[in-house]
Amino acid sequence: MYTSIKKYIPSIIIIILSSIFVSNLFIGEDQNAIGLVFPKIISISLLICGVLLALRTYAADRVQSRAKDESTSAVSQEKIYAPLLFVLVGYVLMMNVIGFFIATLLFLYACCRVFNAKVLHSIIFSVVATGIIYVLFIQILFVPFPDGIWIFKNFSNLIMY
Amino acid sequence: MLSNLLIGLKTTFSLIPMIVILAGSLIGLIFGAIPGLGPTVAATLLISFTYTMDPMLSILLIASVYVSATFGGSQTAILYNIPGSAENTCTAIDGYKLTKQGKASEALGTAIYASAIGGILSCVALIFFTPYLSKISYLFGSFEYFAFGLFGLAAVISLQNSTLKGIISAIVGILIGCVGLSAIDGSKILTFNLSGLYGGFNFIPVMLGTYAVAEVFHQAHENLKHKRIEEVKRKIKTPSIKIVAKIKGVVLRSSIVGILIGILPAVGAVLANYIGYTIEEKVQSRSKNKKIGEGDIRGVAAPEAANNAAAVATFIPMLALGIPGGAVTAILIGVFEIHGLKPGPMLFVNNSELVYTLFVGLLFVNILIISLGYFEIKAIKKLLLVPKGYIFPIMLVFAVIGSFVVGNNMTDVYIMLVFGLIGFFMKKNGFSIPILVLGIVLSGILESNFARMVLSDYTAKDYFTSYIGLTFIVLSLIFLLIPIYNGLKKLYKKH
Repeated sequence: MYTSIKKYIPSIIIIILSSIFVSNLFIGEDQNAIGLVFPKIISISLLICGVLLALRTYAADRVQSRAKDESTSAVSQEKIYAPLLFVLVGYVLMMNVIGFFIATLLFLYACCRVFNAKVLHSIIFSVVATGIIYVLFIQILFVPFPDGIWIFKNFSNLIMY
Repeated sequence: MLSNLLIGLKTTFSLIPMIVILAGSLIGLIFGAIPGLGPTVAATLLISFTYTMDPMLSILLIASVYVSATFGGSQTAILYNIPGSAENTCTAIDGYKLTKQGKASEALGTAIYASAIGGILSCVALIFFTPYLSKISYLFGSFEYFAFGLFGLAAVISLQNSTLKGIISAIVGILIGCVGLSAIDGSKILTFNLSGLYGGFNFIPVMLGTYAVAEVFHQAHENLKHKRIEEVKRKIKTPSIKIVAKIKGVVLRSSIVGILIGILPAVGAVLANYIGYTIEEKVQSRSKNKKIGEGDIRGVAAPEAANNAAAVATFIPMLALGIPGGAVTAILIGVFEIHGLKPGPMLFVNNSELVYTLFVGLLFVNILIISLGYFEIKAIKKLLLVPKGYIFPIMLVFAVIGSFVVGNNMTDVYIMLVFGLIGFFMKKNGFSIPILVLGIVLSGILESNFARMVLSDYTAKDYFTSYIGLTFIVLSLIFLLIPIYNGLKKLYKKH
């Protein structure tokens, strides 16, 4: 049942999104604006394509309803996505708090561990890579990365300037 | 033109541009050789370096990365049956069989020289054809530009396994590109009254998210396990007179095919590699000594000449008309915009030095390929064994840096992250990221020219008498309808 519904997720998302786009474009102040004509046509086309995709999924589902097309590898693939996503989102969100330098160091280490690198290799890699990035982007290209808050700001200032 | 070329020659052959071209070629070679990365990922990740660089150097860097990465995957394809990038897929068919037959050295040599010659011939076409095309660009009105953009999208959509998913990818890309205030009348397009969206999405974070981040998530699992790399004799042999006699016609034919494919908007080198090989297969099928597919040197020369010729030729529509010839030239348009430049006919008037330096630079990279090939063969095994567990984290950090430097704020990083997830979702469900990106790039051309068509007092007769525009519209319809017709026919047969 879940597998069957899962197949419809892309078409459902497209139909919902295109409906939001259509309503946003058609319910507004300046309905006669020339600039809106093309986006209106395009968003209606997306809605139609979403419906066609749902119908096609239904037709394909009917033809091979008994076939088991979910492999075990798909489940194991998802195992790596979740920690990778968690680490990446954490990196981006923490950058403003702990500063670019520390966040990058921790991210590279955590990311290597997600990809099953050995602890020592991960430490060496993250330190060396952060060092190279620091020289390249901070010392040579002068990119003003976030330096964090509280004690992290002091630390960032110490190493950056 | 000659004086401009001399200026280009002088600029290219000074110290800094030479270093940039050499560095770009080496980076491209490495990205091209490592399976799953390829020219588009390389160009996307290098954007972060181009912000503080001189515009000319930025463009030379990305251009040299593109050309050398297109060639870079051929050696892994020949020796280990692992095409470094999609641009070398067909090279593996005969190349690997030749390796199995103990003729790897001949295949490697042929790949290098065919790639270089294909690229050089395409450079000649680029130098002579682009200024001419930019001069006749006045024949392109709103309808013609709109039709040309539409044709580009239709051509790439027709190559997808699922035409419907290709169309959806293009439409989503166009809608993403349309967000913001209309350039024609300032009307708000999908801004949801959020002032932050009035300027639209910045192209660079969107690109970094959909290409680099989505690619890492997509490959995260499957590419961590290495294929066993067997030991093969790695030596390059310059093609003998006998081989040259055998492949000279093939290289010329495939180069012309590559140039023609490269000129088509949005199609690019991946298709050229495939079509170059297929055409050669068809040509040789008529002859008695047909060996293509069984380990024939012509099966290596054809796709390699075609893909490099196409890689260079993708610059023709970009420079002459401002329409990208492929995914990497779409990224290059973004680089032009970072530096306040607009590719198109006016580029030849306002920035002729830049254009001609790019021409000479591309020519130089294609000559450089010959020596780069000898370098790559020494490092090839190590390149294939580079653990992805170390490459992926660096790719993600570069994606974050590249997005941050757009406006030195975190908003673009969040946008990159969101588009990374969108890209991953699309990729996982069989939608096309290159088409999405081309949709974003072409949205400006399609939207503004469509609005101009509506505003103008064109009559139906005007549309039917515009032969250029009409031809592209008819071709677009053919490209879109043939796969739909074939799909329906298949469905009918099934029932």
